[in-house]
Amino acid sequence: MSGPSSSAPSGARPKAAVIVFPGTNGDRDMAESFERAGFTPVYVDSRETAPADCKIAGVPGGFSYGDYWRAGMLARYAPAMRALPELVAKGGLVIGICNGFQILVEAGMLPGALTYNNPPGFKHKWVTVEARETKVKSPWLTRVQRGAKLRWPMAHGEGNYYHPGGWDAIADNVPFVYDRNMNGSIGNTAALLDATGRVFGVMPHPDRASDPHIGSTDGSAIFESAYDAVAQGRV
Amino acid sequence: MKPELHNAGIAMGLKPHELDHIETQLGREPRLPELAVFAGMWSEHCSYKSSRSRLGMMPREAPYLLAGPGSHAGAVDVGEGWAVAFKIESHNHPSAVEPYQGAATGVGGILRDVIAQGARPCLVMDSLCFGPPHDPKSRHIAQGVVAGIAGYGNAIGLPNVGGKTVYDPRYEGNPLVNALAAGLVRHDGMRTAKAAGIGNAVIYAGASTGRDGILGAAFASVELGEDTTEKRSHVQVGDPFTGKKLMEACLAFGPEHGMVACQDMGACGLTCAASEMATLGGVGIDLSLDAVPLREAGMEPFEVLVSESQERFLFVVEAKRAAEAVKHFEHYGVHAAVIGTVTEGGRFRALWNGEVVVDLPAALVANGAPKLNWPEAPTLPPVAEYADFAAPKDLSKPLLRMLSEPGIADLTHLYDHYDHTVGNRTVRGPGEAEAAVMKLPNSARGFAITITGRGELCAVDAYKGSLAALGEATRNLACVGARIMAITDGINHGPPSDPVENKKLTETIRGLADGLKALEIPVTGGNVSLYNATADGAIPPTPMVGAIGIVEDVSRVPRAELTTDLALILCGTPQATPMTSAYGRIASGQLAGGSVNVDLAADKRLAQLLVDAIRRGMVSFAKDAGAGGLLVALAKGCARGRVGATVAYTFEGRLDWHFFGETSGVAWVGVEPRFAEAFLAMAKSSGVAAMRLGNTGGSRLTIKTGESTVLDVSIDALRKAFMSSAERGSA
Repeated sequence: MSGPSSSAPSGARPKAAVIVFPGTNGDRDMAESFERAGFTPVYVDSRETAPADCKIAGVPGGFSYGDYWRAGMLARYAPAMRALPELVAKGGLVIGICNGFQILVEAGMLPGALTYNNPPGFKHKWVTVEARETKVKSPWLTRVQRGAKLRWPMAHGEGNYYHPGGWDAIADNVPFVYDRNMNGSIGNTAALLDATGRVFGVMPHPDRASDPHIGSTDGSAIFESAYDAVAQGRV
Repeated sequence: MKPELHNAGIAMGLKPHELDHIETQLGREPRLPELAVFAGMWSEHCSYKSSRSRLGMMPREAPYLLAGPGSHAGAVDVGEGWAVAFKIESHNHPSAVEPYQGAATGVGGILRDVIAQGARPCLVMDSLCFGPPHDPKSRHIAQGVVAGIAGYGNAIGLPNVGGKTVYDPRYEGNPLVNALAAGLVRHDGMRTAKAAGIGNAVIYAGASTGRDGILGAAFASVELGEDTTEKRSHVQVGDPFTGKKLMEACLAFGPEHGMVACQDMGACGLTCAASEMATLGGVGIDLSLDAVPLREAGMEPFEVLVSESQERFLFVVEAKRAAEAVKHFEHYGVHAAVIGTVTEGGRFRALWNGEVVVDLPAALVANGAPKLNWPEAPTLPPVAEYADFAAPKDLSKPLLRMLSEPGIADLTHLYDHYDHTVGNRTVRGPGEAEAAVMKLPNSARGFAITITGRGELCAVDAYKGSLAALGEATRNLACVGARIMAITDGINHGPPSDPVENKKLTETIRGLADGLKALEIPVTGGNVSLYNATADGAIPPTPMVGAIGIVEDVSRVPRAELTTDLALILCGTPQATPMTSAYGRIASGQLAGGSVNVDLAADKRLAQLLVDAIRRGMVSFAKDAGAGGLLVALAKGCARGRVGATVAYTFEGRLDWHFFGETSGVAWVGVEPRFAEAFLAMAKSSGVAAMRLGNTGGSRLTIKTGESTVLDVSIDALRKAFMSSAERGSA
């Protein structure tokens, strides 16, 4: 398979916004992953909004505003976040990784809550996630084979996914589960899609698994899927 | 000097002869805030007054050294226009009193040294020595320290890529917490601390100044005593969120914004930064203390001068661009204020409500501490040999015991608290290889880094133990294909006022100096922490060595876990005689004993062989024999890789010492069988003894010598012992 970055004509690379809050620390990891997939990443200060020609926006990992309160609680109010529902309504795609997932949940763009790990504490681990069939076909996942087992690092203290309706309420929208329970999440949930499939939140880090030298390239498919969607005019 | 002034100086930690020296140099009585300035800057922690002249024994030059001792952080050229800035710092006493904050601010502090050099930090490592895990107080300290390192490093977004943790009763009550940070900087992006430009603005950026860490540097320079817990106010409090904003603001603020010089405010805070910047630049600095952003009302001028509140930087900025600079920091959510001016004449002055409260020669403050020449014991008391004990016939029992020993046992459960992949540079993280390996941006080139210390050997012989630490660092780096090129040293010692301890300090520095000369590499800077003692005595001399080397191709780095169907080659010449070792301690029940086996030349030869073979892509597994000796090294490789091995050979000497002794220059190499002959030939021409002794595979580790099977143990049993510390709950 020829990589999309090699097939993209130079100068025609689509842009992908990477939203940076004070305390964000995964911005470069996400930007590098977008770049390898063929995008030109654009860092967007959380006090501003993404440029109009960005059809893709990412909310990276980190500790926005220090996460001294509930993770992601403050970041949802930033102008860059308030603009995201409109981007999705227009057909754009949004990914939130780790703290970004927490922020998307706090912002109400994804249902449920991400709470303290059980057992408690920050945990870093290379984990295996399994890709599941979901009801909605997500543009983020076209290159991911159902049943595939992918190795990504997890690195979080508040990744315990909860939904008041239990597993049945979300089962159709969970594209990845951990191969064993890492943090107390219902149904080993590691990621979640909204009803449109355009908003994708994921707790472990596909953005740290897209460089062949550093452990795994199992995360590349996510960013390459998004590139395909843009290149084929599906966004 | 008035008695009340004299007493105030003594209470701050100044010595009578230093007070006399101050009065003579000034030709007048010092003011009270001036005494605080001297107390901080002339503390052991800031002035190195007891160790300075001896530290000069260590070589400090190399063609690839871009910044050496005296810089914020040493920096070495790693190729492709990149330099790595790296440094080690101790936070021992704060961590004894308030483990979480002590360790967290240790990480924050060392990061700011790297940032001040202009480098974007890319990793943290730590070298920790605690009392035994069964001691509740030591466990409390260890858990707090680990949580503090994790809390700060994870939040600011830096991977913790490894380190070393030692458990030994001699560190009970006085733990060692040494943090190392490294960062990447373009050669032309390095910063200076030299203040320049009369009339230029002095700008304060970062957290506001509070009463935390008042005279913390002086607190670090006395022994811990009964009243130690009352010293909490000397401990700084960290805030990684502010640290993160400050880091981004500082890295984005360069000469293009009119920046002339910068320095972080660490030990002795504003006083240290301002007086050192002035001294380096041969200029003076006037500070308006009223302009310093304060956290609380009613602070005294001396408190503002010597507070060690965290997350603060001091800049010299072109006068006409000062307002723009303040705006730059405000944009990043960092408070900034113009608090002073660069002046002619070399004076360090501070004003408070328009009144001069400090007016001193900057060089006297920064560099003027009289050297302390403590008496030195002519010789060191000999350490008794281990009591004799019988050699076991079968190695399985002692091996399983060794694998579960705190300090040897697996620490994955501890490292899981730390993020080790954030930043996308970590090629090998904790436990994945003998040293951490990081890659350069958009390149297959990288660098390796390791940190080690051998206090248990130094307790017997500080000179040889220091050599052994350098030897271990050399081997660790070689096992990932990197030749050691420079070190940063963290010297942790007992009080130099004790002639025996002072002699040990000389021996440690002499060992480091001779070792560096033998390896033909420099020290790039570091840290000295003295007065590590409690009522029960001093800690063993514990020089930490943080070492770095270049990895030309990160795709060829071996792992520390075995895979199946490899040829196992033992490199080096293990000695089968009693020597100071983890085995000797466990088998004899004595903490110290025996001689220290060290042969740096053997380590150097081994390293050259490993580096050459790894660069040719021949090596799948490489692990040097450290604590626990060659059998523990092999067993760890089996346990991590979940694969067995069968080894058969004969040797001279006692079985247990051969397998568990800690001889220099010994390592296991695993290669695909097709490379075995070529590797052995390379070893021969490198002057390294090497024997192909067996193969990996199966689910048991079996060793035969002659007709007898001396070890036959399942990999499950090895793993159970090796992973046991998680269940014990040791931090």
